[in-house]
Amino acid sequence: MEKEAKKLYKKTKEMFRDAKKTFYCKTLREVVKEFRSCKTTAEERALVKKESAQIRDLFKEGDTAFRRRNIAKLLFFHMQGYPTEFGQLECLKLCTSPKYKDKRVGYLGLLVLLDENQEVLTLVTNCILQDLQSNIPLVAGLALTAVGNVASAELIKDVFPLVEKHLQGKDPYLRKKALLAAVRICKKVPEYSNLLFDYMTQTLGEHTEEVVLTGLALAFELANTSPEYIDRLRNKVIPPCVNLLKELLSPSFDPELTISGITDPFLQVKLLQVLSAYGKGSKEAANNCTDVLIKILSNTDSSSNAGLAVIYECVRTVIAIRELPDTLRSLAVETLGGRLLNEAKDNNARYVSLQTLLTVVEEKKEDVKRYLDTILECLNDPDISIRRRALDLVYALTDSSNIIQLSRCFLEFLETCEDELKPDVARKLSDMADRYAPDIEWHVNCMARTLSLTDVLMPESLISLFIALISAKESVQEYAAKILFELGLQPYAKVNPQNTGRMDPSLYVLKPALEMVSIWVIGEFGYKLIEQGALSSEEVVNSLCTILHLSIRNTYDEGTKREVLLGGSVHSSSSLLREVVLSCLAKLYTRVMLSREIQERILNILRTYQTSLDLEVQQRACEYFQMMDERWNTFSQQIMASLPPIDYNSLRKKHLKGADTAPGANPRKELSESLVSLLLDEEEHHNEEPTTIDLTSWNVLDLGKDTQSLPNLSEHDLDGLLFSTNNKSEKACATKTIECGEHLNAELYFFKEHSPNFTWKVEFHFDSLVREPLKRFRLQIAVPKYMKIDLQPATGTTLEYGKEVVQVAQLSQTTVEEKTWQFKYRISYEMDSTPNNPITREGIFRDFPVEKR
Amino acid sequence: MIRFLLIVNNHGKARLTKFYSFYSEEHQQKLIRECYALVTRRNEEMCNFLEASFPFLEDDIRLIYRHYATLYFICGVDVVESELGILDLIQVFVETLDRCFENVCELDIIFHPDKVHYVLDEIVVGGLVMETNVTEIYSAVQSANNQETRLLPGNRTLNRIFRQ
Repeated sequence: MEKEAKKLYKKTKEMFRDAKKTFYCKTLREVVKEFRSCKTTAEERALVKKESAQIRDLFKEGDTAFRRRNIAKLLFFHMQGYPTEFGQLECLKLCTSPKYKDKRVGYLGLLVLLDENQEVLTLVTNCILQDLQSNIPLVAGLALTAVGNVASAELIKDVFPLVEKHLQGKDPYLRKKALLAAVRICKKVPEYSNLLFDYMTQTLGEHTEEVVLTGLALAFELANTSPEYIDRLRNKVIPPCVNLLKELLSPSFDPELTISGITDPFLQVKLLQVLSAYGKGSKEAANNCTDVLIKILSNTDSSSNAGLAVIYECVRTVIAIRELPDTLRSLAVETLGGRLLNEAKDNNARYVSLQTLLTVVEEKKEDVKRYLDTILECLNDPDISIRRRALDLVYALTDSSNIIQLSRCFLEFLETCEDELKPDVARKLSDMADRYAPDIEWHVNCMARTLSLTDVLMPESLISLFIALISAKESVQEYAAKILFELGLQPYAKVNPQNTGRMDPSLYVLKPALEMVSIWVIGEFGYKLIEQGALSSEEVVNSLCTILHLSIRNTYDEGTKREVLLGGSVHSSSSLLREVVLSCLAKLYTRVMLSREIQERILNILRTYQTSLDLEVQQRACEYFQMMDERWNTFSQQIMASLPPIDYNSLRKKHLKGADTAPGANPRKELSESLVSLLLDEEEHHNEEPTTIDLTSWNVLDLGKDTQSLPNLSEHDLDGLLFSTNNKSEKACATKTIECGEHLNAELYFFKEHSPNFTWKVEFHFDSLVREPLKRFRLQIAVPKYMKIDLQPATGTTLEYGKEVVQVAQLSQTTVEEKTWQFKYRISYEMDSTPNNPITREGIFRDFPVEKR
Repeated sequence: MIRFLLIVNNHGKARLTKFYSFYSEEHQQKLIRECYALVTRRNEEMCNFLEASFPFLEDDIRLIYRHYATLYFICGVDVVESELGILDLIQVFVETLDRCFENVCELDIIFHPDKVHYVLDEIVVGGLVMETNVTEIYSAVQSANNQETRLLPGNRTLNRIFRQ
């Protein structure tokens, strides 16, 4: 018997060994090791692919033995950026396993591999419900962590009662987790937040040290959820917080929690944050916490990180609560600027001082101004983080009294700073100059210098703003032309045009944006200076020739740099530059009395570029060359006349609005919008002008001229421009109406389109006939099978009196033979005054315009 | 709120990543790369804070980082968190790791990313700080580790068999 058993044992062991040989699942350690020994990413990818395939096979087989190990490997792959979706279901299986070891890995996978948006999460609801009820605290803890980290709104609705149970529980370990789960509940399902008040106040009142930190997190979140909660909870939150702070400051506190002489700095910081959230707007609350805040400000040791953290948070709190006595608020600024910024030992302290001053500056500008010198010093710090903060702070401190000094600092700063800061500095300078410039010449000068120092890194919206500034103010145009010539063109004026072929291009680095603006301004307004003799036409033409020559090779790098930093696309700036030069030459030729020799040179240049490989340049050269012919003299004078002034103020407003609504928004988007608006403005002006010239040629040239002032205008923008200026009533083939009841009118404009098939583009224009807004306004359209419809979103969902809502639909037929054009429509909207919402109207429309193709 | 915590080594290899806000996987990898690129340019005397705006994200993120020998611990936070507080929190995290792994080094983190996650989950939940006391965190992790070797009471029969 015993022998047999031994035999059997041996046999099983051998079989097991064989099985292991034929199939062996690597451990996480082995996979990581192999991964690390890969020399190239291609090798890494191959390894992950192989391993993933194996893991997937095992999952398919329903293997349980290696599931834990495999999920751990997937976690590793996920971190390296490889796809792991196929493991999600296995994570759920692990979570439901009875073994804690499995559960732990399963929940970890749940947190890392899944996100709240995935439907898989709904499958785990039951498992979480069960684990929340487990009598093993660690298992319940896992489930609570999952709720706190990834719970979706639906999951929360299911588990809420169980989380509530843990909020009342005795075990601090679980209560902590439940409180943070409650924070997530607040965020995801705000309706539940008022059910959490008691748990929060109870936690703060009880003084159970371990849970108080998380209780404060919940208090803070509730304050963010609704301002109304602040008033309701203030009296229950402020007193325990103040008491606890006092206790923390007394020396007899648990030494375990002391970090470099400061008692539990984390808790102190959190307490101060909660005080600032709930202290605002109440005199009583302010009185309540005055003492303790003074104590922290004056007694906390600022020699350590922890101490500084507490002081800075305290300053923030003091500034946030306006009801505090003014002496205390001034003391806070003094502590910050005088003591901390000046004596900052390391850059961390300096950074945080600046950062905190920045939050204070709006309220206490005059107090902060006293430290301006120290702040200006920080502009020279080698650390970019510090310089950024200092820049923001200096910008915030600017007003009409110090604009000249501070803008000079900024310009000096621009000379040496990194490229990545330049767009921001330019933005600040533009804004400062716009607000506080002592006079217009100064403004132009400041912007010209900014442009010269930032060049292509100047955001384009600012460049258009600068151009608009010059264009709008006639008195400054000569000055602008002069200064921009000096900055942009003078360096090239002395080069002998005969020698350009032999000159070393590396000695001349073009600044495309600066030159583009300078050339445009010279073309538009330079004639005044040349006529007065303040500018020699020879120098101008010389410099333009040199730039033409240099533009071929020099601008590419700049364009790339711009693309990287501003996210714009490179419309080859060298060809744009050439176009602008050609236009400038043509303008000078027609407008200024030039010597015979110079005229010849200009014609020569135009002749050369008639064979340019760049289509746009070539076209322009051809057009201009033709126009220079004497028989067109009367026309060319009109065509080449100055552009009408651009409306600076409306452009500026748009610019400011864009900056307000989306700080740090995609600069490219903002700029193309402003460009289009600039173009639109000009377009309108032109149409107003009485003109005898043939309209078609006028329009072509007109657009050409506009692009000069606007570097980098892509084709797309132009399309948008043309599209948006289409006048609907003129171009529409027909106008029809549909029946929509007594509250609104609808007009349908029909447009023919032929790309690729014949299509009716229908614009629905809805007008309200009643004063009351029609809410949730919706148009639905259905077509028979042989038709196709593309219904674009409407311009709004609420129809207000006097405001139109427009919706565009494109209708086409999919059959070869002609069938009846028709569609069914349904309009629905809601009105507050009627009980039977929503109101709907339906109908069939067959009255398509008859059109021969 | 803490948006993410990354451990990246001196060569930009991710050693641990944890995201508390939702980012697509593509953005996660971009964040890792770009945070590393931002942090690695800075020398030791510079401050531990960085303002970063990523073109693919809506809001700006403040990076707070610490450099230990071969590893960067990078924390991305929103405007509410105290910079110095988070700096201390990273220290707490590292001290706890040190206690759990007994003289933690990069290799420990490389080969036991799961265990590092367990430690982190006892410190931060849903982007909020739960516990800052090293002893508390350590004992919580320890008791969970012990639980792993124990069997759940549901399997009494199995328990009995193993004890025999």
